[in-house]
Amino acid sequence: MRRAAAITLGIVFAALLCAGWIAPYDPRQQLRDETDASPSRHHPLGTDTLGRDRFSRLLQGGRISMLAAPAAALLAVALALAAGLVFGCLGGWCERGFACLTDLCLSLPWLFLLLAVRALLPLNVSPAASIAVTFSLLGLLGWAGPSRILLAAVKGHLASDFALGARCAGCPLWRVALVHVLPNLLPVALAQFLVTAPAFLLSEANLALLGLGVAEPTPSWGNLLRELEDFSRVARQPWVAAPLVALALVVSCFHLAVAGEEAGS
Amino acid sequence: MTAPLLSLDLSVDYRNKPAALDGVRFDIFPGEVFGLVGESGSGKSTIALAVLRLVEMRGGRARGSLLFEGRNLLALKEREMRRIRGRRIALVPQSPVSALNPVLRLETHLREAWTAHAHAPWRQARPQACDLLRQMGLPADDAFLRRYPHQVSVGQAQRVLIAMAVQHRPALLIADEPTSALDPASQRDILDLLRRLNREFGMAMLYISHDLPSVAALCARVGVLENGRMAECGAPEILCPVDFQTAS
Repeated sequence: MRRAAAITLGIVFAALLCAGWIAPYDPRQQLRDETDASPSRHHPLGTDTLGRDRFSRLLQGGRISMLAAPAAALLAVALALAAGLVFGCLGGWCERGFACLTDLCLSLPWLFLLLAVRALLPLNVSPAASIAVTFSLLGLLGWAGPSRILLAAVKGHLASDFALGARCAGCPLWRVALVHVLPNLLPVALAQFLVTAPAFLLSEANLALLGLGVAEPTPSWGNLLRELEDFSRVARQPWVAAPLVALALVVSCFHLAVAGEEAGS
Repeated sequence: MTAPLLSLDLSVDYRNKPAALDGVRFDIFPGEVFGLVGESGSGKSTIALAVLRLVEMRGGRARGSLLFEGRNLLALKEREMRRIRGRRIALVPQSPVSALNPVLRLETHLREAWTAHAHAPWRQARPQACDLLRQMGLPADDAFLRRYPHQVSVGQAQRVLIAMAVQHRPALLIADEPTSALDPASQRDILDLLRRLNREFGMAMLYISHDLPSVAALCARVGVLENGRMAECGAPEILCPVDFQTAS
């Protein structure tokens, strides 16, 4: 099951990498005489109301979502790992204070906070800036969940026999943390990454549905979902739901990869 | 009579177990093997950790005095204490399987223990470490050093840990039940090895065990711990069959 998930993710990534060659059209090109077309040989998923090729937009949007969401997840997990190591080693009041801060962050209403922060920024930002802002917000605000788990793992490993042995041999605490504890944390960090990346994909979709994610005309899997707002249309033209299918497929593959990770280790 | 190497008068409190050690007092002289026996939970391992001033890592607090080479270890700053751990006092831990980090190669373990106190790069010290491993009857080739802890036998892992402990030729080696996880044949080998280290390097030893025959064979003096107090202390003959039953 895990292998199937990994292979599917691999195929999706490969397709997105080669999007430049696979995609038949420029995702922003508007074909004025072919608006709202049904699927055909030229347009496998038809065109949208502005006459843009849906298949090309799906590939291009996937490229942005699938690059930026894992990058943001990497940032969040790296922050969590660093914080977990530092505060786990400091212990005492520092660690308790940090745990309180984590709890506070976890108890904030996420969507509301993201909306508020995003609303502080100008609405008509350039597409590139909107991508950077959306995903770095996710990365900077998403450290709390992973850091709690990683902090617990750090405490566990610092109390282990091998960490005690390293202290007995005279290694300073920072060296025990970096040389002895850090390599043991990497599997946990990987699992956290595999959980966080799809969560960020979905968060971006939520923001984009409200028009606060990646800005038009640049496509992302989130803002492509806006076409689904009109429900009767989905019944008439089911191929409009292709971005939803892609998103659901990728998110479940990530989760299956985590399940395999846990069963395997 | 020479001055004792380690002179200890120690009490340790854990948060959930006050007076885990209650005024335990004994001396170890240079080059002497001192045995410590007692049932599980009597505080044997706590003494080992307290001498290295690491009971805090298990949530304990040590009181009393701990004179080693004329200095009170309990009064030292953490930085000074770190220079003593592994260099002047070293520990051979109880269970070799969990004392080695599962994700690090054997060479990394030896290198870490070496660089904790030496300024010379590991490349220069590596041949010496290989010699040491060879003296302990281990295959000291590259293939062996590249192995991970789960790829060697328990007996081999225990020898690697002993090699790590004696790399800096400590004045005192604490062996905390070094044979309890081993089969009889490797137990005998490890005991021979410890005896040889004691003779060749003149290393004093605090040998903690509940294997009374090995204690009687190895140690010059023996202390019997009972509920955190020193019940008896003297020549190994005190471990006569009557005491045998109370101690084990």
